[in-house]
Amino acid sequence: MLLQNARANILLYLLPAMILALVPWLITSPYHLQIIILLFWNAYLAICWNWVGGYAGLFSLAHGAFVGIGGYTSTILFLNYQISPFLGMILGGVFAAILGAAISYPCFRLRGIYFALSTMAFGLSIQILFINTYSVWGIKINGADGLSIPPADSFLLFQSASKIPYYYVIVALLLISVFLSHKIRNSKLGYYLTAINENQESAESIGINSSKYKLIAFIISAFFSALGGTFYAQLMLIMDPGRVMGIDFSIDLALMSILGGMQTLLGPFVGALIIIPVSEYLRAIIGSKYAGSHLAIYGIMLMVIVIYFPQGLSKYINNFVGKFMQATRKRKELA
Amino acid sequence: MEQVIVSGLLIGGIYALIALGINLIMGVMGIINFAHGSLLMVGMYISYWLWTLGRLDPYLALPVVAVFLFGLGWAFQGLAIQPLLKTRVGAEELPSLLLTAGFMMFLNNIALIICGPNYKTIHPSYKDVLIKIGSIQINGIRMINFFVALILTSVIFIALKKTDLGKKMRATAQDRDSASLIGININQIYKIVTASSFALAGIAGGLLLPVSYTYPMVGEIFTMKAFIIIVLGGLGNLTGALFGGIAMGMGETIVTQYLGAALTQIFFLILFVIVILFKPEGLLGKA
Repeated sequence: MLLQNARANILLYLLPAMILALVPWLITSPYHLQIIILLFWNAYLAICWNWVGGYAGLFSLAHGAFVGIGGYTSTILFLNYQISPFLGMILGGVFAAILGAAISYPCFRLRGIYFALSTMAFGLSIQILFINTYSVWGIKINGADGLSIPPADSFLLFQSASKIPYYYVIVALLLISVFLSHKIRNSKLGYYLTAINENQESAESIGINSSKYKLIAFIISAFFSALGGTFYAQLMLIMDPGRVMGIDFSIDLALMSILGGMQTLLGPFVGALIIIPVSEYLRAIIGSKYAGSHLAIYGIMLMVIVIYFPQGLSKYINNFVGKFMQATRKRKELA
Repeated sequence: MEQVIVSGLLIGGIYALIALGINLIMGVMGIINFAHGSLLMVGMYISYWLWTLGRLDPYLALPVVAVFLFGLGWAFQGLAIQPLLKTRVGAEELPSLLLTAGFMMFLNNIALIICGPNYKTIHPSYKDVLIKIGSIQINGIRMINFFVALILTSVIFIALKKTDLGKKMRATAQDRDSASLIGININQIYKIVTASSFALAGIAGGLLLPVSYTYPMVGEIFTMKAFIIIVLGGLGNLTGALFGGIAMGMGETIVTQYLGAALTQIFFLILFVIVILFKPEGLLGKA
């Protein structure tokens, strides 16, 4: 029995791992692989967002800024000092973590919507700053046009002509984020965050220092979001303040978590799994004919999700999995 | 300098009108309306097309714009906000932010599909009339706009204070459940509030069109400013919205002189956070 369970467990992990490893051989079209890379990238960032937005209940709209800081730091270091973006991304993460702490700490005493609006104001300020800065101390920033990275096709410089290395890097990041998510959830930090999220006053009354744990969650989240920024810059070979630093992007991340189920381990991943392919194909099918039409439909999608799936899909998935488990147990008992 | 202060004051009147609409919906229902600026954009485009296709004067077009947006607000309340409120009693603020962000994306991109990305404006014959007071020159339209905005704001204040409907609205804002208990039809009030708020945004757009440009994303900047204003003036505080709007208009034009446009935006965003943190009842408000 025990052996059987162990084998089942190994299979449970091995099977998805094998599928993930084989994807680049199964999907040979670079376009489709690119969509999968973007899907995993979004899922990764949504999981990072969920640590503060879901676990801690801090609805951050500044995450786009962290992603941007990460991308800009590694890109600037590479362009000016030829430092490999693999190193630059760590430094970008540190900058983002410091910035995240500085932004969020004063706002911790604000509840829900005020926290969201304040982080939005900070995020917007940072975006406006980048859009309007052309150079600082001789270092080129290039305003709204952004910085382009000269193609090099060298993995040491976090670049490749083929999409496949990018795929494995983002899978690695995604697995790290899922592992961390699991660790956080089942640690003292996770329990504290849940307690703070449910009722801050009672959490504090039993001696939990709410600001401290919120700050820890925010720092971790900002650090890993910044790594995603470097990945994006290297994938696109351009870093500009328009797309990832905007409020829309932070809202997208929140939407994925909400659709999949906040406070759950894989909710953000499930959300990305639905939203990204749909929006990418909408863009390909109708967005190319009528500029903006895919975003109009995306807007409707957002409204429908918010109105009709307040708990996210994970509730339904859990119900389904629960029923499935029950059925298997019954079958075993019968046999 | 006087010139700067006066033009700031005049644009401040319009800001107050925009902030009043966003504050109404926030104060009565706790809904954060991200799409408010997009509604202003819709008002601008309706006014634009009425002028371009039918040569209807933008001021005569205001009632048409108001009626259209009132209808849109009525429908949005019934189709989107009502079902949202049903499932999220007491926790509607964050979902409402996402809901209206979706609505904003929808409206902006529909405008992009129908009207294209180009900047558009209209040129009525009186567009460049200048009024001279001493050393100050004032654009006639801006002057009229200021007074229209002021009159509309006053009408709303009086309506909220004196009329039956206004009293019902204020009662609902104070306590939804008690208001419902004494026989106020909450859903009806909500519909009227949303529709009026939408109409106010549209009117502000119609007023702005002759003196500025419209394009699909024009609303975003106004939404941001409106949020800053209602925080400066105190959330849900209607007088605060009026003074906040005028203060914002004047402050903005003055600060821009010294800091430039980009830093001015950042200046107000940081001010916004500081006010939320240290004086959440607004600069004028009592706790």
